[in-house]
Amino acid sequence: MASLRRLSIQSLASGFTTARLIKQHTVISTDHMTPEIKLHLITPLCELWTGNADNIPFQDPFWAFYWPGGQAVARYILDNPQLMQGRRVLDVGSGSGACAIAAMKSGALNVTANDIDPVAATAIKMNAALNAVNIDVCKKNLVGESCDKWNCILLGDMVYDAEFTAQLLKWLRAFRCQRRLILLGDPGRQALRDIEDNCLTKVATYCLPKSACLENRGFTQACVWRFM
Amino acid sequence: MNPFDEIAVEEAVRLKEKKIAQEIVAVSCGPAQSQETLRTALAMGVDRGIHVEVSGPEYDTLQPIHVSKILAKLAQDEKADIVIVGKQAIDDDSNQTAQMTAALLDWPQATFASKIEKQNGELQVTREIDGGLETIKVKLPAVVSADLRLNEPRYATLPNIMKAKKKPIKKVSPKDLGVDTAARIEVLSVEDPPTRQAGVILPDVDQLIVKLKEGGHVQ
Repeated sequence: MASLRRLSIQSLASGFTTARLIKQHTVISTDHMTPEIKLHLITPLCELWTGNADNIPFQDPFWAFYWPGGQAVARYILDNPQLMQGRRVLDVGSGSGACAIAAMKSGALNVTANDIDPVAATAIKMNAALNAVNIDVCKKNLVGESCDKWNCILLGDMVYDAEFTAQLLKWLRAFRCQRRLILLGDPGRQALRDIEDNCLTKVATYCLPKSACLENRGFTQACVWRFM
Repeated sequence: MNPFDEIAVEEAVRLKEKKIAQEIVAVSCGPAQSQETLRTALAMGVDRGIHVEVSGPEYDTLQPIHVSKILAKLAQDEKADIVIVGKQAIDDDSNQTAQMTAALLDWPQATFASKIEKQNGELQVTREIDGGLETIKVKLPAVVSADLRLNEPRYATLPNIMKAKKKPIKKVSPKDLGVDTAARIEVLSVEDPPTRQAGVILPDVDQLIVKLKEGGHVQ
């Protein structure tokens, strides 16, 4: 393990190797806001928890953590399954696939998990299998693209900076209409607070569990917003 | 990161966790490597960073007066309510920046803080002073400088390091902020303290008195 250097995405031989690496470095965790869903995550029990981003075998493993906005959206979906009935769902920036899994478990017709990281794609498939659901995975960057295939978009923890948030909102405005549901989860980042127009309505607020507070210093709550 | 600044950053994050602060911005003045220091701050829980780029000879002569002017300007631009810094840098031990920044802004200052609480819209700060501890109340906005016992900064873990990569860092120059970095002090020399001379072991007190008289230490 000590001799493992960061693998470039191109050199990964097969999904099997990736899956083995994921299993090696993560644990199956239910220590989060949606214990109904099992996920392969890096927790304080794992060696990589205290790793430096430069000497780990993955490139930016965002899929290995269950971010607070995603936890809030997944919790909201599980608590309000009526919202998912018959929906064709797109989970953008899916990471571990948690929101996608929550949507399927709540009665969605079909769900696509979207993440541009190929390692995330493998993690999502593994997590879907762990929770006995079928999820399609798409690795294309869909932000800005037409999304007629879906009538529900889920986003967790995407509003990192003002510039990307503006891009996201422009795309979501084109997508919204009465029959479409757009849910966004966030722990209260400033970029969201700075949004001028009132296109977002807060529908839920959750206190973060201790594990999430440890991973996300500075945040203690997460909210779900519905895009109107 | 200067250890006292690390304590200041940790305190800012704790203020946010206690919902006393809403947003934390970290500022670093220096060459390109300052971005690494800012990433560390972001990994500790800071929301965004501002890198004031100062390099080469301009950086060599950068002094607390310049940093204070930069921080004062940024505090005004960002509409900050609290400016928190480490009490001193461990390279020059100046212990001037907090005080000068407060003076430039005409804000109250609470230096050498070992505890910070918010009460009725004001800060109650316990300060470490020579005689012990002093507790003062300061109105906001205010400048605070962090002392050693304020807190113990937590080690940045992988999830926080990764999240830091997505947080924004804005780059500006002192000129953009209207600050002139021309040197106001000239360093004439820097010397190591003299190396300690070897001692001599003497057999008895009489010999000690002889040596003391020889050295002119005793009549």
